[in-house]
Amino acid sequence: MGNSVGKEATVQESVAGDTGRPPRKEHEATRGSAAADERRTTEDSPTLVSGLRLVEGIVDTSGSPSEHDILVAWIRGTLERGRAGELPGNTYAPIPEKWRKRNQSREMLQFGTYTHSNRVETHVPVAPLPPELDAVVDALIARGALTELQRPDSCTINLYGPGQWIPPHIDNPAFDRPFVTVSLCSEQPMVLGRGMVWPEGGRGPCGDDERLNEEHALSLPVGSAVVVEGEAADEYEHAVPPVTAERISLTFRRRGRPGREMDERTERAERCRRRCRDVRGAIVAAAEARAGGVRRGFGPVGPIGAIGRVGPPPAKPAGRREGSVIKKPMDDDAEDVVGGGVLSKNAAKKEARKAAKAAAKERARKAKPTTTAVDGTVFERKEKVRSCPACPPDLLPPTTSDANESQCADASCVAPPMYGEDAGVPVAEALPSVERVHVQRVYDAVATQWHGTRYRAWSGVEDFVRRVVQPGSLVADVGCGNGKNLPEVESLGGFGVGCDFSVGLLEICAVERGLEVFAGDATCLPLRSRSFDVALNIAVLHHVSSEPRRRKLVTETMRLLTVGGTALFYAWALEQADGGVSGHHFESQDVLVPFHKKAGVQGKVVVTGGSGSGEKEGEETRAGGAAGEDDDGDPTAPRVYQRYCHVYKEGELETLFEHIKSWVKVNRVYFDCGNWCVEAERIA
Amino acid sequence: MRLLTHNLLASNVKGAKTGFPLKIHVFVQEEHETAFNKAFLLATLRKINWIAFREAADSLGVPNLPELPPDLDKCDDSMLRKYHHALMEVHVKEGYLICPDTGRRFPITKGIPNMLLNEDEVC
Repeated sequence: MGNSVGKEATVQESVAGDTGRPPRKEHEATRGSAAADERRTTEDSPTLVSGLRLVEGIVDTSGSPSEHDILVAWIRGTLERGRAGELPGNTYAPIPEKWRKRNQSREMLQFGTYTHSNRVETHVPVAPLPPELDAVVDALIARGALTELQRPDSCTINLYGPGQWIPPHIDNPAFDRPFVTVSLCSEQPMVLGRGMVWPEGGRGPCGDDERLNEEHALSLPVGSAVVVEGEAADEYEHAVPPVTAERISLTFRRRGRPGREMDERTERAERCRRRCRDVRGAIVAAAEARAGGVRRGFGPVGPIGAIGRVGPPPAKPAGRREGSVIKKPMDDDAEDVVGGGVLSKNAAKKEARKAAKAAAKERARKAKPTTTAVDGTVFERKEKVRSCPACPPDLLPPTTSDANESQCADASCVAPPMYGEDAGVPVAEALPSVERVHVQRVYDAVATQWHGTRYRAWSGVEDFVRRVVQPGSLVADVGCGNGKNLPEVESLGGFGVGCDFSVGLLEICAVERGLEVFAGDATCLPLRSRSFDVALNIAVLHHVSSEPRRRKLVTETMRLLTVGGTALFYAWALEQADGGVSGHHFESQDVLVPFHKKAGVQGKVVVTGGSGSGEKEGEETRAGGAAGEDDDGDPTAPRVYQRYCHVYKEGELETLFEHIKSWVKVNRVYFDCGNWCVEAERIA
Repeated sequence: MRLLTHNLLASNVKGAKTGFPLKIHVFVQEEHETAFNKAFLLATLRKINWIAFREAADSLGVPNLPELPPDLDKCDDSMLRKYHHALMEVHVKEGYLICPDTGRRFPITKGIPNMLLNEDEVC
């Protein structure tokens, strides 16, 4: 591979704004000498952000055909084979339809490890690293970009067409650092930042708050490798703005081994991700406030969206001179928000509130189904919002709970000593018919199809699990569904027990996945008190039909924990920006959410513990004929099931913890992917 | 259902006092080898109710566990492997769990204990 001497990126400092203050130390950019090509540490390598190195001449571009041309020809040929379906598994990934319009995607070839939306999915087969890429890997090692011990085992090839881009993201911490990206075909910039928002018009939406929008650009010459580790990898997001010409990038990474190092990396990256999200939320909210509540951005971007749900930046950075780095130092005042670690609890809460309000505004904007882009092009906005009708009030249990119920619920809400080691567990109460018909039976009937589309834990949940589960941790997954949260627990050396009231879903857990599960009612768990280190309560609370029962569910989950144990609660939010992640729009807080069961999918036929035995024909009719299990019908026929959901307003979820505040502390409240979330700890 | 899971379950049927430990009545049991993880095992053995574990192991034909919780700092690997086997490798596939206070039977089917209750068994 290339004999040319590696040039370091020359760094030019340009101070945007008029702060006149020196940049923070770790951002200090110094002019580098174009010295020898041997491997450098980040200390002597002049870079804009620590942990970032540029090594040029990895792929030789001289001669005809050059190494570069041969490699590109091979990649194009492989791409053609991928398009023709000739590559194994998911090696070739086309552009997902939903991203095509926004250009927020590229065709991809993946070797060694399959990732989707920055998630590592080990069960999806792809081809191994092909010998054609060995020469590139060897050059990376020979030139000191990587060491032999860091030899990558996977490569993702991104093929950018003009205008295509990749949104700000942090590479999955499951990959070791450093990782390396080799650039081919055209020189394009990569941008690093923390909380970048890319709106139209070439200026940040933050106006006066531009200081928040920290952004560093680094131009990536053809044939060069950018080596990313440390701060650059885990404390900054990186992105590629819309490219001005075709670009191919090869990202080489190595799957890490689970362990302390990966945990720390995950925690670090997750902290940064949250910080970026908060900054982004603040910027967008401020912009909205100035614009009188109308955000004129590009694409269906909510301030609360996950990373990457922002529009593309102006094309401006693409025009920058090669090898130059332009940096905007952050104002020191921004430290509190950006650099100061985790936001204070109140600040985080405030941000979440702000974000949710902005989300609600988004929704109010719905009447106008178009979005205007940078250049004035009018795009039709995604109209595939699934509207969920209000739940008929007569399906719900009486709101002024009858004496019997409230007594039962209140009894369970008293302080925990009641549930001492030997005091037994609270006695169960009857399941309201709406939950039996419109939750339990629906899940039993659609279990197989449900399972087919939900095979992996949500990343927010997975992050929590990685943070709190240690070898030997006992974990209760209350409302475990198909058990998607439990494998991660096991891989971390913990022991997970799942509980659900849908036996159909439990059979998938036990029979297909070999997980430890039992059937039980989440509002009255048949489990000993103070016996678990961690509890999960994911997407359960939104299926509970009355407030006393919701409180009871919370109490029950917390009761299981030892003092010091923590639990994570996720429940669907009313506030769904543009239909949210799942594309739902809720007409009321108590809604029926349709589930379309496809033809030929066999529902599990199950006999539950018997609480459904007294079921009356009339209840199903009352439910509009589209609910519950149709015992006489063909179980494989397509039909629509209505799931009952109570979606939570901002601020509502945490109120469910107030009655137990003497022994339960709410540590964190936040919004994630259309859910309100609470992390709570048992303190007594 | 493994014995570790059994050690965490308790009956909450109307009339139950502690609901623990549930007695086990086995129709079908299986053994599946599970990787021995000493750190996990030691941490877990400190958390379980030993008496319930020993009784349950007895009823599954895995006898000779010590009467009282062993001093884990003095256990050798062969002892620990025995506990590992009982706790993690023996699975009840078909059978019943029986509430110690009321005698209510909870069926275990395909390895899944069904602790759901009928309407007349709840308050």
